[in-house]
Amino acid sequence: MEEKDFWIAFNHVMGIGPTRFQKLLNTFGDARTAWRAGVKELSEVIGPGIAQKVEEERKKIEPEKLREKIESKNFKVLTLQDDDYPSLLRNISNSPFLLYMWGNLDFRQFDFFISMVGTRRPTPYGRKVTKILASELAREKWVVVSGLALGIDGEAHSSVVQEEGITVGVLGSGLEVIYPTSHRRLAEEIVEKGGAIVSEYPPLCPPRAENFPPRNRIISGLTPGVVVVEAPKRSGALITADFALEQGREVMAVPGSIFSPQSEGTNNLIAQGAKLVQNKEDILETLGFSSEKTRKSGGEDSHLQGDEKELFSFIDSSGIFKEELLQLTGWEEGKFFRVLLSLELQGLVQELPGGKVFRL
Amino acid sequence: MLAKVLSATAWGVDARLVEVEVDVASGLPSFQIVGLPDTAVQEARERVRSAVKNSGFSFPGGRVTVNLAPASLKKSGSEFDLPIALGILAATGQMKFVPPSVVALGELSLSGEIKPIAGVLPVAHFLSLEGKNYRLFLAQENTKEGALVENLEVYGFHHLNEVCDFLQDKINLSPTTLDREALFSAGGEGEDLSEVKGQRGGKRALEIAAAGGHHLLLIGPPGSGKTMLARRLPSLLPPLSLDEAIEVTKIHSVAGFLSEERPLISQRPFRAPHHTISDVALIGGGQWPRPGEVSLAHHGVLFLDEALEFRRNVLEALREPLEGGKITVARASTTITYPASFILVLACNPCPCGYLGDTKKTCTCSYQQIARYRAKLSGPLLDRIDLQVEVPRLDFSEIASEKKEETSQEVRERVKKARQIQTERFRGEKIHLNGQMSARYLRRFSPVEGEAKKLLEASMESLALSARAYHRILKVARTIADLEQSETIQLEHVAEAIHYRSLDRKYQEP
Repeated sequence: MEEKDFWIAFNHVMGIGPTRFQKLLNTFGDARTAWRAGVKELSEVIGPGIAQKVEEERKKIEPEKLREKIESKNFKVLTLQDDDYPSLLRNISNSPFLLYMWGNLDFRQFDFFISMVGTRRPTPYGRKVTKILASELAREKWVVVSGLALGIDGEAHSSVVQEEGITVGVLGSGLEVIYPTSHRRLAEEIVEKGGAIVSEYPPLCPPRAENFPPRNRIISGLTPGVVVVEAPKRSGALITADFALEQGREVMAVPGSIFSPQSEGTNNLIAQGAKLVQNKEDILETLGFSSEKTRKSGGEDSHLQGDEKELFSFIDSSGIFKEELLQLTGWEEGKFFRVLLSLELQGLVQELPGGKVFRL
Repeated sequence: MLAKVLSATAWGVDARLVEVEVDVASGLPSFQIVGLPDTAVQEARERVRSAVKNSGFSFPGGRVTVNLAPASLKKSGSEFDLPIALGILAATGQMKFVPPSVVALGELSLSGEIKPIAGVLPVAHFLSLEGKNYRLFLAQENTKEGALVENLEVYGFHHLNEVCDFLQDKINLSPTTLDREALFSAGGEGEDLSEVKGQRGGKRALEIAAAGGHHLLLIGPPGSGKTMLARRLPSLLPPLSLDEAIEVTKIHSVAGFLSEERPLISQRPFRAPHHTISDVALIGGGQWPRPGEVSLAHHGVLFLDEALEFRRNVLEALREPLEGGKITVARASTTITYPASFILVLACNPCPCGYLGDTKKTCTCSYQQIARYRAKLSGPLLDRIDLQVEVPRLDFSEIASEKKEETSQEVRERVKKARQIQTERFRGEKIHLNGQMSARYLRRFSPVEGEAKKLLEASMESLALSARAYHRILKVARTIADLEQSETIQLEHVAEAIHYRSLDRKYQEP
């Protein structure tokens, strides 16, 4: 039996996190010795409650078989002792002592990592920004790390996959319990394109709510900078930004309308000193790469004229009700709907359930 | 001795004559009612016995046999009390015979008072159509209802004694007269559209629904005014004609919903059953099929608030009346068809939490949840709903207080004109409103050409509209064009119609 087997075994005991595991290593020298230590000795190190849990689990778990089972599913296990453990992640204060990984990604072969996170309920604007930034970064061989959640996270991953790029999804559940389940297919595509899905939780661990905040420390920890695209006032994406600051990583945010609740968090980040991101170059510069600006922002409505221009001017990325637009323009229904439909068909605006129209 | 008294019973919204034969013979005292009576009719024995005694007559000591002919027709209810009592009195010689022109209906109390019954109007209507100069004897409270029809003498009585006195010419009574026209126009105005501030989109949808007879779905957060809007739809429809009013009143009469103060329903009905309603209550039924909410809403509006809370089978049961404008209720005892032609208005929240599109509260649903929620609405029922409108909750207090809102009267004028155009168009056809057009009619009466056609095709593709949306859009566009008095369907009409298909769009997850 290898030392690694015992690391995995300890990872399967609820309550053993990076801190307690480190204490065990410090006391017993290695995990093998710790696994075989008496309950009394254990409880002196990690307290009687957790020691009791270890005792219970020891009866059920056979470390060697456990590893074989995990490997049989083509999951890799990266421990802090392994060379291929992501180096940036090693440097944070409570690095996970092991990571399960689905996919054949060798972190050592890549130099450029960036995290992109955001709300699960983005506006079309947030989705569009994510798509543009993620695809541009992917084309330049950046590895985009995110949380495989709905919304911004999913958009970032799928944009990279579409560009045949490498992306890493960090889960708050076990590798066999992809959450949300609707992203199962996306996860497979990520792996097919050479990316990876990683998690510090045992493969069958369900998506517990309390897993997600600590999961965010891995997202920021894997990369030198975090881009927050859209985040409402209380959002998991902001937790990731907090971790990034703690870990000494760059925090960048995409600005949004002051009327859009989905941009409240990001605008606050900028007010507190986060780097404002308008394009890919802003990200590269923040991370210390010089680059020339290639894309200008804004100006998409310049070709519109007359009624279309007027109606378009009332519609912003945070959305406006058709009802309000009717009031603002004062037009007859016929004309109003004709112009609105024309803008929609040109792909400039989009109507969403609820009766709001958004600028794209 | 044998006596005969005529009576009648409502049969759906129609009626049948019933001959009440009473035979009193010597023998051991007994009282039998035959001719497929139900429990309520059987109980007449006790009521009649006491009523006869307490009215100062004597109840015969021998064998009393009552036959309700035709014997094959099932009878229910308490309306045969009065004719049975009259028959007994005539058969025992306590009163002279009852002339065959008299049709008597009424429940008796133990003291001999005559109580009102349900379903008088169908009987009265039936008798007036027979044209045999019938005289209808009713409880006083029922007379206004009976007098609604022409060519029928209706007499109201309070007590059994009064009937006997009248039949023996001891007192003089004149038939009840009723100013039908006054009653018809006295309905008064209902709720007016001008009371709703703002909600231009919702009001416009109501106007289109009223003009073309389209069914409507209102989607909006709580408090956005869906119910307020729906309640005002009847006021946008052209007023009922007298014939239509009688038809509606008949249904309400059978259901027992008429009062003495309000014998004629002159306003278009608005029915809003709660979502816990059973399918039987909605479409009609029971052992003796009574009209359900769909029939009570005949010529009016049926409003289902919180449409997704209704049980699936209840909503599915709506399909037949939506298709044919009537509902046939089959039971072991009988099969009855009630008219059920109405405009259906459904209302639902925009998402599971209800706050999508609310300016004050933020919605907490994921897009997956919203998509699943909306999918519940789809299916065969939604297929019959032409207009789907999002009604946001907006604070219009400042903007709207200044502005004068349109009244129902103004909108109704436009609706009338649009309906006239449709009447012309469908002359000689089986339908009379755009909302009833099938695909075949659409090809004939609702062609789109040129730019409008191009726009429709482009929209179908880029908005990923489903195929069923195509026909709905054409139908609604036809009505919008009619409202504008436009011969052809223009670009604007199609553009607006497309916006009333918000549930058919395959929204890209934003």
